[in-house]
Amino acid sequence: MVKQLIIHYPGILKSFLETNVMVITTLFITLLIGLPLGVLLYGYSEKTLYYNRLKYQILNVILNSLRSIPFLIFIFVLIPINRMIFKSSFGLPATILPLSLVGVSLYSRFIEQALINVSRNITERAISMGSTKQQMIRYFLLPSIRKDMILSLTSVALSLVAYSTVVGVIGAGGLGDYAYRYGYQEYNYPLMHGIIIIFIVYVYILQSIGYYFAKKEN
Amino acid sequence: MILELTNIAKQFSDVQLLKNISFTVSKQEIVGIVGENGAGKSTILKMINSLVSPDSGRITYNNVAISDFTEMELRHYRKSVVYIFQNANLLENKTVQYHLELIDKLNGQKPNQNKIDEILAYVNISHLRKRKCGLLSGGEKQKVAIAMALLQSPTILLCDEISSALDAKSEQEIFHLLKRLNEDHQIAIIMVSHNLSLVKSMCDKIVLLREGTTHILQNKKQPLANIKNDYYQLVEEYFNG
Repeated sequence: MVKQLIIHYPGILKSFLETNVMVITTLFITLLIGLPLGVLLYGYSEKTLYYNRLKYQILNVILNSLRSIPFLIFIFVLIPINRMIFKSSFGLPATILPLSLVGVSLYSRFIEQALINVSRNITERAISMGSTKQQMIRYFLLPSIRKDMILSLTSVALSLVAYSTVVGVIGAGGLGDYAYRYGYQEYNYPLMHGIIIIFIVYVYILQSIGYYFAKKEN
Repeated sequence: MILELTNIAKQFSDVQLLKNISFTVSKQEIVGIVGENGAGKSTILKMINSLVSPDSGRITYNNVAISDFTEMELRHYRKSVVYIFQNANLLENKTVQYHLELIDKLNGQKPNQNKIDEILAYVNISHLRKRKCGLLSGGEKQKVAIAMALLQSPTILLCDEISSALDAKSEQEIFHLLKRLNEDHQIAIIMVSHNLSLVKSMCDKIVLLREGTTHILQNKKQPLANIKNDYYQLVEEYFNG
């Protein structure tokens, strides 16, 4: 197994970098869109913020739909939109949209749930101190869920690592695709098992980074 | 008089909690609200802070009904009539410094560190500045809440059973601090407490809640009428000597 990993070292490194590009880019987009969307989702359901049942339901249905479509099918469904945005339906750029949409739908739900769990005492304090709705979100609600924000982002990152192995079908590469093509398809099982171990270590490191930053919030 | 409650009523579900609540608060006056559990003491404070709306009646601040305030006026009012919660309601993962800086931030200003230093020293919690609120004792949390209130330069403090979770020593400290605030800064205080000896020693006026209505005890000597319930007999004996 070690021998196979050494032989395939350049290919593994290239694929590993591809996986990282996919995960980091989509994670950034997830944070950028998923966080405000989660806050909005909570705000539409909360009387002290932007309560609007209809808007909540629309967002709710969209996010649920995104999560309901099997990811492999989702990649194909998005091909026309990818062609429109990236002028291409395959390769690394074409993975950004499906992975980001999955990340955003997961993360916004995590944020909504974390906000629901914020004690009433905190929102009551914010109102009693004369804060505006934006101030309540910025100074009271988001600081209250900092730990959840970090842990949820870690969970999303791990999910994205898993999803990134599927995007090989549109030629995006990545470590999972490498293990499939050069390990499984070429009956090189030691290589495949070696890459699985790399994945385990990678996920462990990501999780540890998440825990480290979350712990700082205690 | 800076605050006046007139014929306030409030119903929750099928229970008529408050029927006819009327009392006034003057500048620098300390008013104690006493009554059994569930009598509606905290609800009155929440109505004064406009966290809860009365079903009927009128609350006026400097002769203006708070129900007529615009959203912005209401926010300003809440910064003058400051609520101190039973559990202080602080963000556990944030430092004392963060909480104190919030006051200026909510006013769209840069935190005034000199003023914060001054208030921390006044409340005697300078050493807690960098500590996260989750690591503070109940008494320390209340001192932080009082420091936050003081930074808002309030006219009235609404203290909602702020000593209920404190030991006797911390309770004494907190009430000494409130008394000092009242004298040094001419702040009126409306306090809800079950500690009758503290209420007796501190308050200029006592509002006794009974079956949804108010009985005002001025100068701690005014007798209560028609007292049958044990709790009220106890209160009468206590305040009338």
